[in-house]
Amino acid sequence: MSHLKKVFSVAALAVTIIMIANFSFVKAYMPENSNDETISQLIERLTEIKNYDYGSSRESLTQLSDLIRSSLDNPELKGLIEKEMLNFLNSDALFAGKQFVCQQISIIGTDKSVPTLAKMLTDEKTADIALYALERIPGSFADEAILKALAKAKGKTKIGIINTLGQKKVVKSVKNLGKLVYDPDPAVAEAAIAALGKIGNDNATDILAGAKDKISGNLRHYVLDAYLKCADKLAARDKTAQANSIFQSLYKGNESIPVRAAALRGLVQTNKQNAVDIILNSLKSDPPELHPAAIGLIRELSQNTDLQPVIVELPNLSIQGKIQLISAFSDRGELSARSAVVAAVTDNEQPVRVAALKALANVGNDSDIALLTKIAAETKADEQEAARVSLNLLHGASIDRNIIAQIPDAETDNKVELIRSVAERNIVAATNTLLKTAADPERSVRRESYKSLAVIAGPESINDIIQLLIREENNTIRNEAEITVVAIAQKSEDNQAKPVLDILPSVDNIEAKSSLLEVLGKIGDKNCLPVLKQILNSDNADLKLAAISALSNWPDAEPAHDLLNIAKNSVDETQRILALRGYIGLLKIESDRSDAESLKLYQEAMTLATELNEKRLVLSGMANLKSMAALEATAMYLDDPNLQPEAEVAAVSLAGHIENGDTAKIREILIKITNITENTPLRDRVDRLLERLK
Amino acid sequence: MPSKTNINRRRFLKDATGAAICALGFPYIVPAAVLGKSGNIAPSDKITMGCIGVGWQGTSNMENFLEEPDAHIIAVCDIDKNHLQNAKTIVDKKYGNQDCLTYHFFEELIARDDIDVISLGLPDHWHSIPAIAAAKAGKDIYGEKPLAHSITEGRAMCNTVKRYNRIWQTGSWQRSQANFRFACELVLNGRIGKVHTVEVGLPSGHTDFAGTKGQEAITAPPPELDYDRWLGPAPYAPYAVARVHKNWRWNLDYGGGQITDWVGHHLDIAHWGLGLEHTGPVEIDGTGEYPKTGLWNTATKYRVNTKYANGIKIILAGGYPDIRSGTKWIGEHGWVWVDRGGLDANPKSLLHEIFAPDEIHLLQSKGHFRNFLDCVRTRSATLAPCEVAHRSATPGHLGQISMLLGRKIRFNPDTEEIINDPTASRMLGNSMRSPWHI
Repeated sequence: MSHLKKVFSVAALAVTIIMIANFSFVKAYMPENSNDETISQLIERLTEIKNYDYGSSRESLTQLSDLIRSSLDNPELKGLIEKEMLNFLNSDALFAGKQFVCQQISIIGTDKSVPTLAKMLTDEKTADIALYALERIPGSFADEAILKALAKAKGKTKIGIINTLGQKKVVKSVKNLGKLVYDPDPAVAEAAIAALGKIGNDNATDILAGAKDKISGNLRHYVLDAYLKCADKLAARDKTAQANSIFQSLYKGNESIPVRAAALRGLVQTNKQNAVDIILNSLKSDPPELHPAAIGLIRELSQNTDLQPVIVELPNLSIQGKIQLISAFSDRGELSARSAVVAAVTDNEQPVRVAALKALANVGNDSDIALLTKIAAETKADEQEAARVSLNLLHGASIDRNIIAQIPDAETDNKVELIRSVAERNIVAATNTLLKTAADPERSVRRESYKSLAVIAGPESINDIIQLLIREENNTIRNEAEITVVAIAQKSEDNQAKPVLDILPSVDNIEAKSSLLEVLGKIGDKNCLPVLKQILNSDNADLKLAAISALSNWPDAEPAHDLLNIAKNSVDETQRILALRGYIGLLKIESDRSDAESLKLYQEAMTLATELNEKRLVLSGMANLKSMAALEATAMYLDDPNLQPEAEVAAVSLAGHIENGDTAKIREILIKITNITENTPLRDRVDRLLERLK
Repeated sequence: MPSKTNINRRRFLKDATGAAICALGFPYIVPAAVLGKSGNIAPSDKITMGCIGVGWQGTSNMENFLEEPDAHIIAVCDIDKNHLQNAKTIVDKKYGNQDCLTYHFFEELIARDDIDVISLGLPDHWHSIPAIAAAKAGKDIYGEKPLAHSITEGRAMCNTVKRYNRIWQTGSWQRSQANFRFACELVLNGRIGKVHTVEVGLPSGHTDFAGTKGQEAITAPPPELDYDRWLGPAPYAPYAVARVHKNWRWNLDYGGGQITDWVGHHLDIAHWGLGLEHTGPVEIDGTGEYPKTGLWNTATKYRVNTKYANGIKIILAGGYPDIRSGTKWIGEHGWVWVDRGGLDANPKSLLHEIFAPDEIHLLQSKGHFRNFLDCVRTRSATLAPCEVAHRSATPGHLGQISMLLGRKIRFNPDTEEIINDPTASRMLGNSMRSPWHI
């Protein structure tokens, strides 16, 4: 140890001893039990904390709070800790340490802490931290000490004390606070007003009632807010008449809209038997700015409230008033408002019509099926969407039955909407009806029928749907039927492809057979593979293309080799390209292959690719690899103007994935990309990667 | 002060009293919005907005509102001049003009009678004061989760929002995502039978969002920041870089760490799926690992076991691998798990369920901000109203108290009081530094 260090160590020891000597307990205290041991530790911590300042280690603070936590169930120890912490507060410790100790006292402090804390209120520097503790210490002793301090306090301290009295709801302070309501300092007055609102007893209410008539300007807003709180508290104490009287005066007066709205709410809450009349009166007599509040209150009325008087008022409201009232009916599920809502469906204003259509989901019944269907069929955008959603959500035991019943005779567009709702409502009982509409002369009906059958039909219906598919002559609709067959097949636990495989040999129509082959590919059942592979040898070019397409959609890479063979050897350009695309697609599927193997396969695919599209596909697949070799292979195409953009994206993706690669080489490639790319977001990404590689 | 005067369009303090208060550094007194529309907005009118707190999350929220065609942001407010200028630049660029006014004092922005809606993007310790002021002034409010910095503040916010009939949306945006909604519908409609346990997996540690970890040296605040106002109601502490922007959440004076940040998401979803949005736990038993030193003092690893009156147990955990990130309801017939970008169930067939019209259908949101604006017009409740957000935050606050005290606490969700534990009861609220109060 250097001489200088020794000097400092001795000095530090001396300081420590002096600091410890400052605590009263040192002279008399000798550890005798576990409490004593804890106190010893506490003393050590407090000694350390005495010089604690912001920015230095909190370790001693943490240890102190740990000690306090361990004392929580030990009243005697807690008392001893409190005593020592008060000694600390009375010492010349730094502010940061005292602040921390006050926070601890806020948790365990008792009446014993009050005198020390109260003393701290006389100094603006320490008042805040003392109030932090005093606010949490329960009991009248603390309350009275705070109140006593109020008399001499000034500035921020005074406001802080007032705030604390309010937060603690110190009833004894009401008289003093009442005087401060008229304090020339508006910040003091505002704090006093707010505190009285929090206390909210009868005296506080009376003071605020007086202040309401004497105070003007901005402070009046605070008075009214506090007064409203008092009224709420009166209502909670079952002093309904008094509360109602306050609400009435604020509602009827020339107050601001927010205050009147709050008063209106209180008025309804304290006069529930006349709630509808009050709301109605507001809608008829009050300025429109109060209507949202009035309408909002409807949501809070009991379900058995007779709303007829308000319902009748609906047509007389502003556009926004109508929207809000209809929404309130909807939120309540107010069935008695159905007729009014139905009428609003034909309102001149589109937003009102939309609101009404939406509301029918909750207030409508069977009679509205036709209306919603018609509007869904005849309108667009918001109205159509609202009508559809409501049709899907209409409640009632007979709704589904009625929808099924209306399908056969409905006009084409309406029929489509009804069939759509069958799926949304999951009406399984409509399966037979939809098996018929799937053969409807109208294509739109057939298409929607297949879509819905995919949702509601079970495996028992699959043969019927396959037969429909075979008979379907329109390619677009047949594609929809394929999706439906796949969806239903996949609902079976096993042998999902069996119904299709069973029927396939008997199908002569090439288009239908091709369609079924596509279905087999999408089902992806292992029993389909031999059949599809066999068809690759077919003499029929269309069937062969269908099989290639089906294998291209296979869920794993098993048919890759077959597709590669065609890509290599077929003399038919279409088959060759289709097979190569399918092959590249299968290579992208996750497998057990090493990156090196995958790269080799991609490179082979690249040599087979004669068209740019296929080459781009290869680069896109290579982007998923994670090796340096793949990056370097990809970088070769940066110089090919036709493939440069795809090569850039692939190379950047690879560079981001490679771990433990040749950093210099990666940087070289990335820098090259930044120099040539016109893709700004990609350049930003390269910059980030380069930064990371530094 | 605002950067531009437009007397015809706004109403704020002009009298000598207000100026005097401001000069002393005390909070402005917020005047009433006498002529505000208070929700009476015609369909043809845009919803006018002011954004208070336009730092990280606040700017993100502001940009989302800018994308809504019927919202019009006319003012922004921040106590960091850089944030403020950046926000103004974004708004003006969007609208192709220079009309967005800037404010240092939120009280002035709230006082404008031509603003219908306030978006709040502030640190937790600043959630309650401007929210309450805005509600009193008749503004509808979009605020962030957790609703408040304490249960006491949250209750005061809910009461004020209710008293003044305001529309409130909390930034618990997962409610507007299809996978979360569907998961909740599965549970609510009984697809996994009676639920007995919910595992809520939350992040752990301290995420260094601002790259300021360790920058704890006491320095003068940067000139662009009104640091005393940034501290606001929080206990005094000198400026340090790691204390403020983006990372304030890791100090208990301003946030509650990962647990209170994330209860507003995954626990909120847990409540939604259980229909427990208006109640809270009756028992809370938490353990947490708090750093022994450093400025960031929130728990880095935690586990809070809660029990509800209906017997359901909800476990909140961060840093425990046995609790998967997200929300997992476990019932007598299976389970449902949901997280951002993820949804799973046992049995798997549940993932293809379609609900009948008479079953519970939760609102299909077209976007969280859209939902809020729609509700401003219809006055219907939003997807994440104030009371619901308060109940989502409460188990986080209670968990924090239990962890800090190192013992189980019991809670009455009806009265929102801690039972038979006067020490824990003291921690339901925080004393605010003068002159701030709610």
